[in-house]
Parts: sequence; structure tokens; C-alpha cells
Amino acid sequence: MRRFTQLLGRTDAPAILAWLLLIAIGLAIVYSCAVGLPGGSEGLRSNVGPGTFRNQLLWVAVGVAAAVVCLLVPFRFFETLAFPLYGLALLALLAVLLFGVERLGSRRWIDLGLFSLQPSEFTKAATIFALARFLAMRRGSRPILLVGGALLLTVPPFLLTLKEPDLGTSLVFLALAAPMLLWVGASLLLLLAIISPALGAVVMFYGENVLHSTWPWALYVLLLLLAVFFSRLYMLQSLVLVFSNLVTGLSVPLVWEHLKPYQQQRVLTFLAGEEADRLGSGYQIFQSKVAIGSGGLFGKGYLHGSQKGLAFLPERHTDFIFSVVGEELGLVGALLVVALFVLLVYRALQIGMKAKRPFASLLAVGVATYFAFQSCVNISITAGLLPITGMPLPLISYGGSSMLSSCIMMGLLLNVSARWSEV
Amino acid sequence: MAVSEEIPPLRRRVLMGVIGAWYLLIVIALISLQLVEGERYASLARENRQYRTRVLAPRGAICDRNGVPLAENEYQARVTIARRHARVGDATLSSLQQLLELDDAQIVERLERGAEDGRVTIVRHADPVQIAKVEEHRTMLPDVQLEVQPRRTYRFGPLAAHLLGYVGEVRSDETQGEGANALYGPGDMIGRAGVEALAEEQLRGRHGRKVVEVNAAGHVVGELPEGNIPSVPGVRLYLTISQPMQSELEHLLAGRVGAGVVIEVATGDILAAASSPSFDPNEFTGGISAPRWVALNDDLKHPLFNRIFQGGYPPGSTYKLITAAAALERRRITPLTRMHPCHGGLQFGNRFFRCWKPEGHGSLDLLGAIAQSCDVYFYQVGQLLTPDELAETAARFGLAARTGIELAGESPGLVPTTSYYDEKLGRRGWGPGVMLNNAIGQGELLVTPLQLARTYAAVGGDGYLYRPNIVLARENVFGVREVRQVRRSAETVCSQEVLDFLKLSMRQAVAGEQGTGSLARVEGIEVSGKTGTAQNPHGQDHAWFVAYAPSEHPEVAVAVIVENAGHGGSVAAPIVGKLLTTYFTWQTATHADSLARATGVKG
Repeated sequence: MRRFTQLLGRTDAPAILAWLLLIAIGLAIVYSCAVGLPGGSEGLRSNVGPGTFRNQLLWVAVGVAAAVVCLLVPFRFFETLAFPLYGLALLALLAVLLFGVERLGSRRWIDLGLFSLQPSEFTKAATIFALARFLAMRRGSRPILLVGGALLLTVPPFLLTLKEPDLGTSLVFLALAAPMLLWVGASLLLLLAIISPALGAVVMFYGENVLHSTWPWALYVLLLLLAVFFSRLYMLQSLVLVFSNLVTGLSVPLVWEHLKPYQQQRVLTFLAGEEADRLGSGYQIFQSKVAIGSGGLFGKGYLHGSQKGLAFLPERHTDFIFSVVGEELGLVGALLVVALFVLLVYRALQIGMKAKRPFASLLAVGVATYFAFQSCVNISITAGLLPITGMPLPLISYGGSSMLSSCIMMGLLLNVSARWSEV
Repeated sequence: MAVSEEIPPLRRRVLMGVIGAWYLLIVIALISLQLVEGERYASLARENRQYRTRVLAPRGAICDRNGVPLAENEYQARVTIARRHARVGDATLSSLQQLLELDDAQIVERLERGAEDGRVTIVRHADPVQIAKVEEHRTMLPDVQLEVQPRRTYRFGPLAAHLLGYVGEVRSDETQGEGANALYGPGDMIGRAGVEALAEEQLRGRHGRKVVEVNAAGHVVGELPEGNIPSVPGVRLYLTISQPMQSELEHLLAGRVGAGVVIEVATGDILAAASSPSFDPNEFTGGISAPRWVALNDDLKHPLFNRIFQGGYPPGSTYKLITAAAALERRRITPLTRMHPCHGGLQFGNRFFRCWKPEGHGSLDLLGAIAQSCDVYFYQVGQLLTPDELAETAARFGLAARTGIELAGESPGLVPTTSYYDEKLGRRGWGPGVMLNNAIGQGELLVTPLQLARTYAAVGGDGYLYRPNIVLARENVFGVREVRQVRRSAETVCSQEVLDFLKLSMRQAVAGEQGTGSLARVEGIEVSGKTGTAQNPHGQDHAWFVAYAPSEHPEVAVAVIVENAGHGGSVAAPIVGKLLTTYFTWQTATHADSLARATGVKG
């Protein structure tokens, strides 16, 4: 016990504060969603009810307990077990595809009787372990090898979650890799070269579907060729770069054709501005913006959100919970949540800088990236800055797997912050 | 050595910068949403959950004079859908269409009618099966609602249809006013004929408004007090007609083509008025179907045609009263004047004018000529009068002019004058022979049953013409009653002397041994009246009987015409007789009733 209090004393206090405050705000908002307004969801099939808050409270307790366990176990344990855990996570993802429960058209859950789990959430932690382990082991190798290795680690979970389908989660795996690579020495130019095919795809897509022209992409390829020519790359690298750009760019129209109509619609709606079709496919984003905007400076008051209470806001206790924060607590509440995330991410990066052992450092950066990416993407979606992809707001959204996984990562972060000097 | 020391500071800064920039972008977006555009989104949020809805005012009921409801409101459910789903191909709309088994044309027709308060009516009168289906699939049909709406019903079906009229759905060019101030909204009822149209302004009342709060499924979760305007129910009308009398009249006319009117002598109140065949105004309430409308219009018996005061018929012998009055007033004859005896006809110029009785009436004085309706006598009286003289007297008796009944479309009838003949046949195109026809109520003459009933009421009563009333009283929601005013003409139809003689002759026509109207006799009551047979160039003659009773102090006057029924005395007179019997039984019954009420004795 004394060991635990000593350990706790060495952990990063601001990070703990941010973590616990975010959990408290999350619980309060989930409660608000669960209570709703009388008659608010009459006539709707609602999955929010009194049990919602109780479940979330239980998951928070489980999460905090898991964080304490993760704090107590020396991080070397995770370093040793990184690859087995990663393998286990991939098996779980495979199991989801084979035996998973289908809800709302996607297969993301494994039913364990009393509750169901979303293995993709835990795979995020496992992928951070594996990336940290691999990059810590191989740092100093040629950057191209590091990039290749990182890709080998992130692409399997990416593909497995994409198949569920869960586009939002699958993107998290790709996003985790870049900052960690940067951390072990991959140059910015290299990273740009890696993401250039994706950039090319975006240019191609935007040209095709919004400007109805392939010329922007042609211009992009021309610029790329010029850049390759003047940067004096090796022939093989140049060929790989140009070839990969051509493949992704040209495959955009093919992939687009194979998307489901609702997916196409979501993207087009986003590009056209959601108010153009606020009652059709732009409904969710429109209602979310109305919820946040109508909150004003101080909000409509806790428990008094009409957009939430009368069920205009879809997914209000999960992916769109930030809209409820904006509606009921106003700009003040919304900025508080943003500030707490900024604090958390900032502290995580600081811990990463301080940590002496490469694995620990990379672990902290991975956790920082996880919180930064998920919170930024989620809030950007609710504010209408990005098209809709399913992604929970860590520590706040309703959902056991996400809460547990986020708490485990917090535990690891605190673990590193307490043992930063260990080599 | 920490990993962080291995990497150039620039890369760390780029990483931090990218993350920081993203958060900054979010902060800017939040400020823009919540502060800069906060007001706009706040009003959008209000629009989301609040909508103004109309509180329909119940249309005023129409009752008979004793308060028996003839036209009422029955509450029915209609199925509406939010405007955003009101387009062909919408998923919610298609599932609703499948559920209720509606065809495409119906849906398209409904969508074209447009939305009211953001909702489009898909089924106007949902039947119990449809209601159950919608209720059962509530959760699958967000934004579909069942709304209760009043529907006009006529409890007695075709009873008094030509007087009551009917209601139809308002057309878009009739809504008057915009938005909240509109008198009508799409789907509202409007009076299209009869009393429904006449008293439209009072019957419709005033729709109120309220602001309700709804949830995302469109379910009303509450009302907001601001912006509430209570509705004002329509005025209740008491008609002058009596339902038992009206029923009896229609029963007597059933299966025949014709019309009948019963009016109260002292007031001009119409106690019963029917045109046969009739129609059922309930058919119009939900919007009449096109084939049914065509069928009603193409029916050779013209059920929609109101024969009571729109149908012009030659008055036949009932007109002899007026010919007699015209000659008596001008002292061309006296009641004792005997004309050339009747041998079944009269030779005039190169034409032989027949009497209705081929064997002839012999020599008669005026009283006998009226009672036995001798044509030959009146051919000769006609020759003593000019067309204008006869027309002037006819006008004093209320013919060739509208009676002033409030209902629309009344026909003034026609009494030919010199200028009429000049215009129609040319100044030299006609001769004194027209007067032979005029004198016995044939030729160009046209009167309506209502006109004739009123004329006879004047003869039987005090000699004044009373305006026929159809609305007895209007009673608003606070119980304030406005009773109709009795209006009569400024002058009597003729001098008292002539009037007394006419009364006597009318009495003779029924009670006299030779009277043509003997079949109209009623036990215990003396009836006065006159038969008539209107020649019809298109077929068999129309049968008239016009009467009042009791003879001494008449209470009611009756006019009945049965088309293509032959002689008035044999067809129309018995109808009048039965009608009068009903009237006097009913009169005694209601009297006894009110007596019981007044004394507190229960029958």
C-alpha cells in the first residue's frame, strides 16, 4: 500500500486531474442523456434509458480499477508482452468478423453474455504497445525500414476494422503510426512522401466529385514528378513513390463506385454543406450544429437541452455527446472539455519527452496521439468540420469498451510518468 | 538517453503544432457556432421543436325548429405526414402507402393539395382499420400522425338536402388571407349550397391557434401558453322547418318528380320544403367522387336541381284566382257574372280552346267557375283583360318576382307583359288570343312552388305577402339568440272585398260538392285550395295543388307539384290532404308536449 501511495505521488498530477474531470463531465452528460425530457423520445426507438447511466457508472469503476492495475504493473511487463498482446488483439478482431454481433449494419461487438465488448477499442492499446516495442527495438535503422515495419503493424488492424465496417476506428490505427515514427527519427519529408498517395487520392476525389474534372489530379501528379526530379531520390524510391501515387489516385473512382450509397451520401453531404439537405442525409450534422450553436455562451442549463431532450440529436449519448455538452453547458462548458483534452495531450507529450526508456517514451506519445486524434476528430464532426465517421469521444462518450481502453491507456501514461527515470 | 534527445526539436514542434492547430481550429469553430451564430441556431432549435397548429372551430350545427339536429359534426381521424416526407419516393411515405394500401394517384393528389402547418394530409377520413394500422406501426413511421378532425354529417341523409345544401373541401383560391390569418386552411370545409353556403360566415366559426412542443418523432409533448388564440365555435342555426313535417313531405313525394312547400301563414316560415328526387349531402362531405358527380348531374330527373324555388312551372288553374282578382278589382265582372255556358270548349278565331271537362260545365257564376275550375269561363274573363293588367295583379300577388328567401339561386318566374310579347314575338306577332291561355295559367307563365304557396298564404291570411324564412334563429356559443324578423309586403294583394270572395271560392273548391280539390279534405279541419294542371309540351301534364287550412283562420299554406302526373285534383290534392293531416296531428302533439313541460307532468 505504501508502495502504491509512493507511486501515486510520483505520477503526473495535471494528467490525473484532466482524466478524472473528463470522466466526471462524461458521467454527468450521460446522466443528462439518460434522463431526457418527459415524452422526449415517445414514438422513437430509443436505446437510452435509466440503465444507461448505471452501466456507464459501472464501466467507469472498472476502468479506474484497470488504470490502477496498469499503474502498478511495471511497464517492462507490457514491453515484453507487447507482441503477444497485439497478436491476441488481432485474433479478437478476427473473432468479431466470424462470431460478432451485428448492430445497425456493422459487426463490431462480441457478446459475452452479461455484456458485450468491442475488441477494436482494445486493439488501439495493443497496437500502441506493438508500435512502441518495434520502434524502440529498431530505432536507428534506416527510416524506410521503420516506416515499412510500422505499416506492417498498423495495416492488419486497419483492414480488420475496415471490414466490420468501422471507418473511424480503422483510421485511428493509421494515425497512431505517424507521430510515433516522427518520434524515432523519420524525417518530415519521408512522412510527407508516405502520406502523398493519400493526398493524391483526396485531390482526385475532390476534383472528380466536386469540380467534375480530373485536371487537379493531373496537376498534382505533375508537381509530384517535378518534386521527385529535383529532390534527387534514388531511382527505386522515386519509382515506388510515383507508382503508389498513380495507383491510389486512379483507384479512387473505382473505390467510390464500390462504396455503399449511404457512405457516398455522407461524404457528398459534407462537401455540399449540411444545410443544403438538412432533412435528408445532412440531418445528423445539422441537428448537432443546432444543438451546439443554440447553447450560446452559457448553455441552456444542465439537463435542459431541448435538442437532446426531444431526441432531435441522434447518437446523443455516444458519438454526438459533445453536442450535448455544447447545448447544455454552452461555449464555457465546451471550451472546458477542449482545454482538459489539450492539457491531457500536452502532459502526455511532456511525459514522453521526459521518459528515459524508448519504449516508455513511445508509449506516452502513442497515448497522446490516441487522445488527440480521437478528441479532435470527434469534436470536429459534431461541429461540422469533418464528415461523419463513427468515433467516440474518449472518457466522455457512453460505451464500456471505449471507457475501459481509455482508462488502461491513462494507467499506462501514469505508469510512465511515475517511472520516467527507469531505463 | 531519452528518445526525445535523439530527435531534432523541429519535429517535436511540428507534431505539437499540428495538434495545437487542430484544437485551435475547433475553438474557432465553437466560438463561431455558439457566439457569432448562436442566435440563429437558437431560433433553429426553437423551430425544431415548436410548431403552431390550428385549433379547429367546430362548424355550427343546423337543427330544425325544435332543435332536432339535421347537420352535425362527427369527429374523425385523419392521417398526416410531416412536409419533409411529403414527396414521391420518400421512404416513410412509401411505407405508409403500403401499410394503408393507397394507390399512387391518391398519394399524388394529396401531395398536390399542399401542407398546412407543415403537415400534409394523406388520408382524410381514416377508417378504424387504417387507424389501428397506423397506431400499431407508430415507431416505424416517425413523423406520421393521427389527427382528429370534425366531419360534417347529415343524420337524416337526403332529408331537406336542397335546403341544407352541403359542404366541400375549400379550394386553394378560396383560403383568403395568408398563413396564420387565413380563414381557411387546406382541407377545411366550406358551405357549397343551401343554408351551409348561406350562413357560411357564421357556421364556420373562427379557428384558433396554439403552439405545441414536439419531439423528434413529431409527437406532441406539451403546449406553450404564448401565442394561444382560442377558437370560436360556429353559430348554431335553427331552421324554420320541422323535421316530422319535412319527413312526411319527402315520404309523400318519394318516387315522384316534383316539389312541395309548407309555409306558416302568419310568419312566412317554411315548415317543410322538398324537391324530389333528392340527394345525400353526406356524399359531398369527404369530397364527392368524380363518377358520382357525373352520375348526379347526368340523371334525367336532376336530383341536384332545387324545384322548390328554382323550378318554374306554368301555374295552370291555380292561376285562375289571380285572373279572377284582376277582373274583379277592375270591375270587369262581379261574383255574380255569368259568362257564355261551357260546352267543353270555346271557338276563338280559327282555333278551338278546350275546357278540361269535355262534356262541359254549363252556365256558371264566378264562384262555380273557380270551384269547378271551368276553363271556358276564364277564357272569356281573359278577353276582358290586357296582358299588362293581368301581369300587374300577378305582381301584387307576388309572382314574377323573387320571394326574398335568403337561399341563393331563386328563380323569379315569369308573367308575360305586352313588352315581353313585343320583344319575343314582334309587335305584330301576337294577338288577344294569348290572354285565353294566360287566364287559365298556361302559355309562357312560370311560377315556382314557393311563390304559389306564398300567394295562397296571403289569400288565406291577412292579404299581405310574407317573406319566406328558412332560418328561424341563430344561436352563438354564449347562448345568445338572434331570431328572424317577420317581414311582409307594404300593401295587401287586393282589396278586402275581393279577398273575401277569393277565400270563399277557395273553400268551395275543396268543400263544394263539385269542387275539384275534394281529395284534399282533412277530417275535422276545413281546407281551402285550388287544383291545377300545367300543360307540359314535353309529356304528360304536371299536377298542382295549392291550399291553406283551416279555412277560417289558416295556419299553413301548402303548394305541391308532381311532374307528369296528369290531373292536379287526383294526384296532388291527396298529398296535400295527408300533409295537412300530419301538420295538425304534429301541432297537437307539440302543443301537448310543451304543456307537459310547462306543468312538469311527464307523459
